[in-house]
Amino acid sequence: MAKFAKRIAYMQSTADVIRYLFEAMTDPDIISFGGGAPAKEALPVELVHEIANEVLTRDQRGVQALQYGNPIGIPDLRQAVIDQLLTPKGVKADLKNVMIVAGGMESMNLISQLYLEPGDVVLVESPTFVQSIQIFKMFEAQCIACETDDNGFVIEDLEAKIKQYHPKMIYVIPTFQNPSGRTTSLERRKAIAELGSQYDIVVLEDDPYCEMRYSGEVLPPIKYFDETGHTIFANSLSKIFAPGTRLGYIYADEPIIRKLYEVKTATNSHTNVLTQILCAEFFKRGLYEPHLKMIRDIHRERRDVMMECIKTMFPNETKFIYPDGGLFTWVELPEHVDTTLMLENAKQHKVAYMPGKEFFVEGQPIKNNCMRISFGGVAPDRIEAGMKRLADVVRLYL
Amino acid sequence: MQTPWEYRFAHRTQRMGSSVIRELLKFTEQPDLISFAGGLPAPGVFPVEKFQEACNRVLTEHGAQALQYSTTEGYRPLREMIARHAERYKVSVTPENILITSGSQQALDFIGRLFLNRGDYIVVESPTYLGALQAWNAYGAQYISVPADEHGMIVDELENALRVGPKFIYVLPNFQNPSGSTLSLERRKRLVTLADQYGVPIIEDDPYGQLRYDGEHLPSVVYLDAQYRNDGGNEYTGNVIYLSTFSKLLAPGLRMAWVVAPPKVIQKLVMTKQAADLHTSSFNQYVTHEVSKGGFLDEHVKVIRSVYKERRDVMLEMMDEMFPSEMRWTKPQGGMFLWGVMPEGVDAAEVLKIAIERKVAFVPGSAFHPNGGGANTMRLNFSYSNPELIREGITRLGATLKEALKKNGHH
Repeated sequence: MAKFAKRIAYMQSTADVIRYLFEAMTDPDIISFGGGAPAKEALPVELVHEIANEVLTRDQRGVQALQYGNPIGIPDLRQAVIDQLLTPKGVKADLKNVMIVAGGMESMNLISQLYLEPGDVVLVESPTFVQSIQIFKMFEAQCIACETDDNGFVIEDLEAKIKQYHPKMIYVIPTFQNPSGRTTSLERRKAIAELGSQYDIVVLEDDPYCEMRYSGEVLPPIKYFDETGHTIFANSLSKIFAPGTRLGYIYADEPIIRKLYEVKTATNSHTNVLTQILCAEFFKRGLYEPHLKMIRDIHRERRDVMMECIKTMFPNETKFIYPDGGLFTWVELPEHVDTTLMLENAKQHKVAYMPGKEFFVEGQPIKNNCMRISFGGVAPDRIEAGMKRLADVVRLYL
Repeated sequence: MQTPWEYRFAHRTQRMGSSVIRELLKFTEQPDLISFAGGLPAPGVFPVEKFQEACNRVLTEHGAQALQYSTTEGYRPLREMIARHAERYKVSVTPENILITSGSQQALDFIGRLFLNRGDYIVVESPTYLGALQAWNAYGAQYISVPADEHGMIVDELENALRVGPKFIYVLPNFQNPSGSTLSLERRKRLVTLADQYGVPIIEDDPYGQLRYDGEHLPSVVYLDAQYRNDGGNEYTGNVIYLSTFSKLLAPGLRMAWVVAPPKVIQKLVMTKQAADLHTSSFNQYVTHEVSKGGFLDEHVKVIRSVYKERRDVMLEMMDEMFPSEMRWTKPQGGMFLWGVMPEGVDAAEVLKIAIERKVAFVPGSAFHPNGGGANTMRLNFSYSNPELIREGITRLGATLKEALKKNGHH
């Protein structure tokens, strides 16, 4: 076969870890805190069933669901996103500002297509979401990590790196960040938007967990503070509707959406119409609010159980994040523990997590002693059992 | 500060421009315009009831799995079904040879991403599929056009192109979009041999292969390649990457397609997909499998064939009657398109402007020629409009063409 393009070499190592986590997902004996899936109990199977039954007829929306669609998405889903997801955040959007994409990750793919040249710098949090980094690197961008603390990006370091590297883009997950579970504070959200405007940098705000808040106060997105159109707000419908339907959306200034139309056309024509219709109907029938409440209740309980387990079962030296929402917590073990090596032992104990090393990139020290633990996909009693196993493994390394 | 967006976008997006097709799709929204421009299947043949039934069943039996994340490669029973289907055409493939993609356009994008460095050459037929050019322009591709006639790519001229050292050869062997032509068996064999001699892979794009209305099914290039290599094993490990889709057989709105390739390539494509959209909608994969299994797909394809065959026949018959005698066109044995050639010097884009005033539309052929040319050509779609509309539309177009040719000094 012909040689693969250079960009492909970057992708190998991360792919191996993801593959293992998928394996862990399908083995019922392994309790996996490694994945990023929400609770299967929260999937709206009955609701979707009811909707499909009603609308997928020839005289309703059956033909529309099967025919080619528009690259930007069906109007009523875009309108539902505006009315029920964006307007409550205090931002002003109309149909020209919103595009439907095939899952949250696709936003990173399309926006990379749109902006990144080989050698461009993207500033990211430390730690950050690996799969997005994989996409930026595939477009031959250089990802540089900036310092973060419990309130997100440390603004002084971010600005220093802006001056040093002249980045094309800042990538930030402001709410219940993957992997750390941390939330960027209000002041810093404002500061990040302003830095984007001041230094003419695209701020890619990836906010897939923002609706999944279980405690604390709701914060406006970075996009809310953006006065120049430099911030692009990307979100997923996976967590609040259903991951298997692969739906997400981008909210940005009109010229960006217009160009993304062309990028999407060249990339995969449009997002599948069938699940767009099911999702649009879900919103239009007023099912979202009560469903979201159910999702929050389920995940809040899991978070609480998980926090209790860490507090009571793990060694005292353990540091961890208390997330106000989302799916993850971030555990920091004593410095000498290498969580990548520990994973082998965890496999023997039939428990899985995501080694922290995977989430670090150039620019900040790589921490080998951390792990991302997801409480979303595991039922409360299994969380207890799994955390007991994991605590046993951890103790072996102390 | 007002952001000057046009200076911010990456270079690769500059070649995306507003596409001819996109502009044209706007015309099709006028209710009284008869459009032969799009590439849409006829909505009347969509098996809506079957889909609704399948959705019900999937949500009853596999609700949680169908709404949850799934593996990047695709739903295994669906891949197994596709492998069995390939077996019918004597291509031995396993599920490890197959990746489910979100439409064939995504497969084309992934192939660009996987193989192309800026400036790489690709051998294409002239004319060729516009969507492929759109996908690969983003990766800085350059094209070597090999001329084609009614039997597809003129393979005798391929050798010169292969000497340039292209990354791959792109062909649509069956009822090509846009020309409607089919690559002859002899040329298929020669293509396989030459590609092997020069060590250049072939991308075989086959969205319409099953939509044959007359003549005999020809073996696919991937099959001929396996045969050429004496590749009698379970897995296909040859030189061809084969693309096909459910869009034309069942429904394009699902965005369901697949790639057949050697496992080594599939593994890399899987990594590419992980970094693009993670996986194709689980729900759509379950539903497509549910609809297709138990022989329904075969039955349904028969229905589509009979509907489209009639439309093709009506269009060709009307063209004989209404089109100026100086025009030539292909008589495709299948697919959804045919290709018209006007005398040299007549500009199809100019003709289109008049045609739109007369409420009929087509795609000017120049867009399908990556290296220029084809100004006097046009693509006509016969699958979307019903026979009555085809009659009226070709009557309008015939009058437009006669007028345009007269203006250009023809009679």
